[in-house]
Formats: sequence, C-alpha cells, structure tokens
Amino acid sequence: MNPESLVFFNLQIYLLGFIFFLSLNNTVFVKTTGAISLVISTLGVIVTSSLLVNNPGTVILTYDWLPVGDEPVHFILLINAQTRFMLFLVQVIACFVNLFSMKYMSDDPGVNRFFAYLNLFVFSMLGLVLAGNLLQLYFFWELVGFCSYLLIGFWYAKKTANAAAIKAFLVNRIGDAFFLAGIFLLYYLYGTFRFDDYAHLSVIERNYIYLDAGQLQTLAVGLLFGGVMAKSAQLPLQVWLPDAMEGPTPASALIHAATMVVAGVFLLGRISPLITADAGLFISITGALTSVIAGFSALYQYDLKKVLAFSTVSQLGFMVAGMGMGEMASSLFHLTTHAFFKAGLFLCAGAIISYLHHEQDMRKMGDLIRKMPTVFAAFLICSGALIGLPLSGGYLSKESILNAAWIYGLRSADYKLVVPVLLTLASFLTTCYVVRMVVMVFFQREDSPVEIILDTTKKTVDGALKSIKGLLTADNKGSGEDRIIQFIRNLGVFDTVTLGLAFCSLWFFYSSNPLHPEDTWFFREFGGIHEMYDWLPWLVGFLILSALLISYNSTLEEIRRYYFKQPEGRWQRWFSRLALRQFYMDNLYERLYRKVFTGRWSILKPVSYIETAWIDAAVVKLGKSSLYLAKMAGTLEKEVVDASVMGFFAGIKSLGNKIRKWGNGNIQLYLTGLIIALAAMVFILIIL
Amino acid sequence: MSVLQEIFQSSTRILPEWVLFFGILAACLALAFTKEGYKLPAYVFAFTVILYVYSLIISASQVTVQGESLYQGLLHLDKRALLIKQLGGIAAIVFLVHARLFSYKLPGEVYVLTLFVLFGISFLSMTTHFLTAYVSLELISLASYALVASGKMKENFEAGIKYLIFGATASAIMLFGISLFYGLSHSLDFSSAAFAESLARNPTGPVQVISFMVLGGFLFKIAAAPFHHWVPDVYESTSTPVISFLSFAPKAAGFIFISRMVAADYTNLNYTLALVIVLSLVVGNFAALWQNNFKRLLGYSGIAQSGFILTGLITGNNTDVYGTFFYLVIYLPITMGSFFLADFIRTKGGTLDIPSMAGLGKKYPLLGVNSLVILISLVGLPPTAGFLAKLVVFSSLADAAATSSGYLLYGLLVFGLFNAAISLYYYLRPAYMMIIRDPAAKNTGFSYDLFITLILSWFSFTLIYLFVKPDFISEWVSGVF
Repeated sequence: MNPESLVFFNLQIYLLGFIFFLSLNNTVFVKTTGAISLVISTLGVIVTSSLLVNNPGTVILTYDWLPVGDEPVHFILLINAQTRFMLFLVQVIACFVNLFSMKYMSDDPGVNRFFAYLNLFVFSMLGLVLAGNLLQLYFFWELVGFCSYLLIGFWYAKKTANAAAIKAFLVNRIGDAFFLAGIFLLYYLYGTFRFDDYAHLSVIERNYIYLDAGQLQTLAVGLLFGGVMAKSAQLPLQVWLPDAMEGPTPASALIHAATMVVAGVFLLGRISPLITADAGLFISITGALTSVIAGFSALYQYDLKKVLAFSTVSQLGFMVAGMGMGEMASSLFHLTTHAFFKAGLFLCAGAIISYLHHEQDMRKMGDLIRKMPTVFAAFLICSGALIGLPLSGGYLSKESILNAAWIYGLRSADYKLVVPVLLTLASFLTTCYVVRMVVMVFFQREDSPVEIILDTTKKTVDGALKSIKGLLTADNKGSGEDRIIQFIRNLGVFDTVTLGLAFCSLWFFYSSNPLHPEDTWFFREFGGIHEMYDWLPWLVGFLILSALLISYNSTLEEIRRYYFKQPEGRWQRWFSRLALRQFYMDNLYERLYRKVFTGRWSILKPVSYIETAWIDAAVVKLGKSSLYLAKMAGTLEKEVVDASVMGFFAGIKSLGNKIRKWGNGNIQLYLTGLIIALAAMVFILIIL
Repeated sequence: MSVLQEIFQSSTRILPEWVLFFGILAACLALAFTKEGYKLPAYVFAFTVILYVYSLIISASQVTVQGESLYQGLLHLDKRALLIKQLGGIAAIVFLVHARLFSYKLPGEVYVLTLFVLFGISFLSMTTHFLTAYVSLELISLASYALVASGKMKENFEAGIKYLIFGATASAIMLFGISLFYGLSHSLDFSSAAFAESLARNPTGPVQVISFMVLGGFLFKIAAAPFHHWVPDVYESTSTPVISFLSFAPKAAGFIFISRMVAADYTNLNYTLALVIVLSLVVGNFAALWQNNFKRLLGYSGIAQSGFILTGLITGNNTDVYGTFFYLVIYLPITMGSFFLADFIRTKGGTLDIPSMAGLGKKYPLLGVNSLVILISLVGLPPTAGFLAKLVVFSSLADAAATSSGYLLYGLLVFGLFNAAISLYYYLRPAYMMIIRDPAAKNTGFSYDLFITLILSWFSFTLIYLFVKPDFISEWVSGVF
C-alpha cells in the first residue's frame, strides 16, 4: 500500500470504531467492544509499523479544503520523521491501554462509550499528528481537547469528575484563544499556514507598526505557546491536569500522561524553525520553572494519581524547556521514553487502585510488594526510568536534555544559567517524590529497610530477568509461543500490560549503549548532540543518591507521623499547604474570576446591562410580535377556515339525514319519489 | 340455411346454458324427492355451477371478440358475455363457499332459485335484443324476489314485496320504452343497422327520454338512483350469502346490457348516464354517512359503487367501455368480500351495529387487518385493487371529458372525486371502531375460525395482490375488446 491509503485506512478504522461503538449503546454487544477495539488498535499498529519499516521519506499529501484569500488552504497530510514516530507511539500506547481497559472497565455499564471515546481520541490525535498546516492542527487540537473533556467526565454522575471536566475544558479554551491569535499573526507574517513553508520562507516585507518583524515573530510564537501552556499543562495554566485524574485511569494513562498532553511539545517541534532566541528563552524558562514547581507539588501529594499527574507536568516542563533551547531531538526523545514509562506507571497505579478497591490515598497503602510482585517490578522499572537511573530509557533522554541545558546555560553564562540549574533541581525533586511514592505504596511498614532493599532488589531482578528471558527465547524458537501464552496466562492482563510498558522503558529500545545517549537512533534521525559534559552524570548521580537517602528517611518519618497522628513541623506544614494548593494558583484564579465576573466592579455588568436592556428586549419584542401574529392566524383559522369547514360538514350531515329519512319503509312515498325523480330527469333530459 | 337448421346450429353453441338448464331440472327433481333439510340440492347446485364454469372455460376458444349472432339475432355471443358469465359462475361459487363456511341452513329452493338467477344472467349477458333482454331480466328478477322473500321472517317478506313492487314499476317503464322504440324503428335488435338508421330520422330529445326509460329496468337491476329505494331494506333483511350473490352477479349482467346499449351508439347516452351517476353518488354516499347497520351501509355503498361503475360507460369519441369491465372484475372480491366480512363480524360480535363493533379488531387482529384492507379497497385507496378500479374509470372519464364539448363531464369528474373523498368517512368508520376503539365490555369468549379467517384473508390478499400485479386483470379484460 502507498502511504496515502495506509494513512487513510489508519484514520478511518478508529473513526468507524467510534461510530460503531456508540451505536452499540444499550445492546448486549456492549461487552464485546473491548475486544473489537483491541483488534482495531492492533490493526492500527501493524499498519503504522509498515509505514515505519518502508521509510517513504517526507510525504506531503495535499487536498483542496478552504478558499482563504488568494490561495486556498489545503488539507495537508505531512508525513515526515516526526509524524511517523508519533503515529507509532500513539498507537502502541493506545494498544497497551486498550488491553488494560478491557479488564479495568469490563464491569462498567458504559464500557462501549469508553471505547468509543478512546477510538475517537486516537483518531483525532492521529489527525493532529498528520496535520500539515496550522489550521488543520488547530481543528484536531480542539478535537483531542473535546475527547479529553469527555473522558475526564466519563463518570458524569460524579460531581467532582464533572467539575474537573469543565475546568479542563475552560482552561484549554483560554490557551486556545492565544493559540488562534498566534496562528493568525503567523499568517499575517508569512502568508501561509503550512509547516513545510515555515522552514524556507521568510517574513513578508511590509511596514510593521510598533514592532519589527522579528519581535512580531517572537510575539506570535509566544501566543502559540499560550496554547501549549494549556494543552501541555505549563505554568500558569497547569491547574487542570491534576484534577483531570478524576477520569478512568486508563484514559489518564493514554491522554493525560502519554499522548494528548505532549501535543504541545509536538507543536513546538513542528514550528521549531520559527522559534526566535527570545521566544526560546521564554519557553525554556517557563518549562524549567514548571518542572521545579510541579516536582515540589508532587512531593506533598497523598493521592497516588495526583503524584503521577504532577510528575507528568514536571516532565512536560523538561520537554518544553528542551524545545525552547532548540534541542528538538532530545525533547522528542524524552517525549517518547516518558510516554512509555509514564503510561506504565499510570497503569500500575490503575492496577493498584483496582486491587485496593478504589483507594487512592498512598498513606493507607503499603505492603503491596508481597501482594503484587509483578506490578511492583514494572513499577520499579518505570520509576527508575522516571528518575533517570542508568540502564533505562529515561536516563538517556533526561541526560541528553540536562546536557543540552548545561550547554545552553554555560555558553553564554548569564541569566540563561537559570534553566539548567532549575532543571537539575527538578531532577533532584523527581527522585525525592518517586522514592517517597515507591516506599509509601509498596514497602512493608514494619520491616527493616536493609531487608526490604535486598528483598525487593532480588525479586525485581529475578522477575525482570525471567520475563525478559522468556520473551527473548520466545523470539528465537517456535515453541516459545506456547511459553508466551503460558506466561500471559499466569500473569493476567494488568501484569502483562504494565510489564510490557516497563520493558519498553528499558534502554535497548532506544540505544545500544546504556550509559551514553550518543548512539540513540533519535539523534541520528533528528540531528545529533554536539558535545557531552563528562561531569554531568556524576553530578546527577550524586543528586539522585542523596535524594534517595533523604527522601527514604523523611518518608518513613512521614508515615510514622501519620500513624501516630503527630503534627508536622511549622515549615513543613507551610510547604505542604503550598504544594497541595498548587501555590495558591487555583485560589488566585478563583478570586480573579470573582472580581471579573461577579464582583462589584465586574466588567460583566455593563455587558449584562446591554444584554438585558437591548438585545433581550429586542428578542422579547420579536417573540411577542410573532405570538401576536400567531394569535391572529389562529383566530383566522378558527373563525374563517374551521367555521366554513364545519358548516359544510354540518350541511352534508343534514343532507345525509334527509336522504336517509327517505328510506323509512313507506312504499307509497317511495313510489311517489320515484315518479317525481323520473319526471324531473325526463324534464332535464328534454331541456338538455 | 333454413330457420330450423339455424336453430339447431345455434343450440350447439350454448353449452353452458344447457348445463344450467339440466342442472336446474336436476335440482328441481332433487328438491321434489328429498325431505326438507337434505343437502342434495346443494350438491346438485355445486356440481352444476362447477360444470357450468368448466363448460365456459372449454367453450372459450370458440367465442370471438366480435361475436356471432344466434337464433336469428336473439342472442349475440361474444367474449364480453363470456367474461360476465365467468364472473357470475365465480360469484355462485363464492356464494356456496360463504353459505357452507358460516353453516347457513338454507332451504333447497334457494339453490334452485340461485341457479335460475344464473340462468337469467347467462342469457342477459349475451343479448342485444330487447325481447330476450326483457325475458331474461324478468327471469332474474322473479327469481330474486323469491330469493329475498325466502326467509321465514316478516322482514324478508316485506323486503320481497317492496322489491317486487319496484321491480314491477321499473319493468313497466322499461316495457313502455321498448314499445316506443319498436314503434319508432320496427326493430327490437338495437345493434342492427336498421335500428340506428330509423332512430336517426327522429329528434334526439324523445330518443334520449325513451332510452332512459328502457335503461330504467336495468338501472333497477344495478341499484342505481332513482331506482334504488328497494336496496337498503332488501340488503338488510336478506340472508348474507344470498345478498352477496345478488349484489354482484345481476349487477354485472345489468352493466353489460347497458354497455351494449352504449356501444350500439344509436344516440349519445352521456348526459343520461351523467344524471344517473350524479344522483346515485349523492344518494349512495350521503345516505351511507350516518348508517349504523353494516349491511345497510353496504347497500347504500352499492348504490354509490354503481354510480362509479357507470362512470366507465361515459364515452368520448371511441365507444370504449374497458373501465366498466375492469371495475366489475375488481368489484367481485370487493363486494363479496365485504359481505363475507359482514358475516364474520356478525358471528364474532353478535351484531352488525357499527358502534358495537368497538374493539373487535383488537380482539381478533386478523379480522381487524382484513376489514381494513377490504374497506380501504371499497374507498378506492392504494395499496388495494379498488384504487386501480377507480383510477381506470376516472381516467376514462377524463379522456371522455377532454374530447367532449362543454364542461359537464369535467364537473362530473370533480363531483365523482369529491364523492370518493366523502365515502372515506363512512367506510373507515367500522374499521376505526374495530381497530382504534376499546371494547365496551370485556368479553372473554374467543373462538378461532381457521377457514373463515383464511378465506377472508384470501379476499384481502387478492385485493392487495391485484394492486401490485394488475396485469392479470388487464389482460383478461382487454381480451374481450
């Protein structure tokens, strides 16, 4: 198949799946949707991998779409390296999530709705990835936002879920307003929406008022970044993502960790030729700041999914900062590794929550190491990747971003140094909250720490080795298939999926060298790394070790305090409150909202006055006049049309009665009538 | 060829009538030598009718479209006559099936008299001679009077007397008209050239009036106004299978005779017929509007239907009466099916009072559906054959109107359509009562009659099938022209 039909086939199976699943509402086939959806996503993965294997280079498919200005806006499918890996990534994660949801959602009555939304989401995400111009991307951007809204509010009867869905939707609308403004400003500057034009075109020369062309371009990129802030949860619009965890966990794994939230990063990658130095600095500082603040927030959360949500925000900060620094390759690399290990973590969390009957408070967990050893192994591998331990994919990607950041900072050695410092701090914080999470969720609370470490390490290594061995040997021998089946049968769906994702988070997926990111295929594809600081791994390693020790002790302390109900220290309490309330950002927005919309000096008052006094009044007048007209018509109908019809009817009735009265059996009368009628007819005939 | 030879020659051509003749003799003998309550006359009747239909079928190949003159012009045997005789035979079979299915204990005389009616129809359908027409018409009429009066109730006798008086009046008027015609033309065969020639020498006014008087006897037979007064009483009191037969077969014979008079084309009968049609439609439709007895309703409906069938005889430049024959063929299942339906309703609901039919269709869904189909085809709406029948007659009327001068025929067309719309009301009232209304009292009795339901469904299936595939009728009917 040529790329065109491949891509269209790929898109349409998800769309058809969406329609089909929705049409199954309230039928007995609802239970089958999971399996059908799994078939669809497997097909999608196969189709896309054929696109990866037979690398067709950059393909641009153009169709006529909208006439705008002199030349029409085309509907463009842009398939280049960035598109291809993203297509594959989205569908692989979707496939994993699908498999997981089959069990996780199986008892939900609205399971067909869930899979329908999931398919619609994958369709729109693929559309976003394939979009060849900004308008088209914007369209699918809104569509994924809508899917996210649907899935956050999937349990619509739950009040918090509904509120979270609306919050996510509104915050995203704010970002989209900026985004749209940015799109049109870019069109004003370049006269095109197409991504492939931005690389080689330059700004149209005309007299720009107030700002010169470069400044305008910075502004445009800044506006576009407004959209990224909302979608990828960057400061200050990140408030919606932690609340979005109200949705079903598999949906959170797919949408709010692995794929949709990185759409912003993807967009920055698409417009990377346009990012000016100033805009880049703004973007990277925002990203770095986000990652620190989110990491700090994650440190004090009790809700397992919220920890993961803040960690996602923090990692997104890394990627965005990387994009700002112009390191597209590192950023996309981190996007990929993050997608796998974060989806893995979320699905582990889903398994844990399911096991604990919807208990999400980490302080009440513990001891799960014995009860769910396989999930623990997967969780540990993914956590290692998140921290950036060697032998994991996360190590490679994070290292490359940190390295790039230090190069970026040290090259000019001025305030740009803020970025690498913040990012290093963020990676320190990452270690802290990950260790806290692992300890709280899995570790036994009575045993000595040394024993735990030994025990778990042994178990983890054993489990991981076993699984890897099993899979590796299975690849070589035909009889291995049985072993895989056996393996899966023993493991169950949750274990399989989480182990699979953990497996994808290991290094060999990305590079042959586990300790050095230079060999990664990403850098071959998107441009390599120029230089490496040898001291950086040592610095990061030291930070990780110290964070590990600090966090382990403080977590044990925290658990102890929780059990004995001791209050925290003054500073700690202050930090905790700060973190839990997201640095009072929610409060700020709420107050701002009150001021603007409902307060005494609200700007809405004149607006509402105009609305009620003029527009409403006019509408009411119009309604009244049409009511009057309707009344007139009604009267006409009743008095004239109806009355004439009824009169006619009554006339016929009386005529009929008269004729009927004739037949009352008086034969003389009949005969007289006959003769009269005959005479009359003869008379008429003679006249005629 | 001597006259005697021609008589012998002609006698070989009327095999079906011979069958009927010997069948009547056999039935009379069977009646005379069996005790009351024996079924022998019925068997003889069945045998005779089946043999009659069979002989019609085997003699069909000898009959030509133009026809041949028998007995020196007393009879005129052609395909149209054959069609009407076939319809009469089928009607007699339906009559028998109807009577057997509802287990009527009809006296043996009824079968003999019905054979006489059939005998009369057989001759009336193949004559263009006033003398034969009068004799065969009287044969039908006298047998019909006796049939109507054959019940033992007071009403039967009253209806029979009423029927007799109106029939006698109509016959008197007709005979007077025939004698006038004979005086004008010295001929009784109205299809002969001499008849038309001599009438052409007379003014049209008197010829029209005389034609109308002659038509009177046949208008009486087809129950058209103003000779309709006997209809409601007779229809109400006569036993249903008998009136089912009488409502179709003599009517068909009357129509073929009128159509022959129209086709003879000695004068333009359009205005006469138009007057009769208008009067019939008004009387039939408007009197039916507030009828509460279903059989009485069918009587008035028969008057109106006669008006519609006569519409097909209104001719333009060509004397084509295809519409009437087409309507007649479809009228057989419609009218006999509706009388069958009436009997079915009576056995299920106990009464023919329309308001008390409420809820019957809910209790017996097949009855409800079938009654809806039959009543809709009485109205003449798709998807039933009744629609096609009305369509054909009205389109032929529209053709005639287009070729004629003046607006009278257009007026008739509009009036006819208007009346068809009015008829919707009273035809659908029983169906509405049966299907929409809830039964007044919860009657727990439920009897299931497979054969009756099957036959009723056969009627309505025929009506729908003929709507979908009218080729069968149109080939059959267009074969006679």
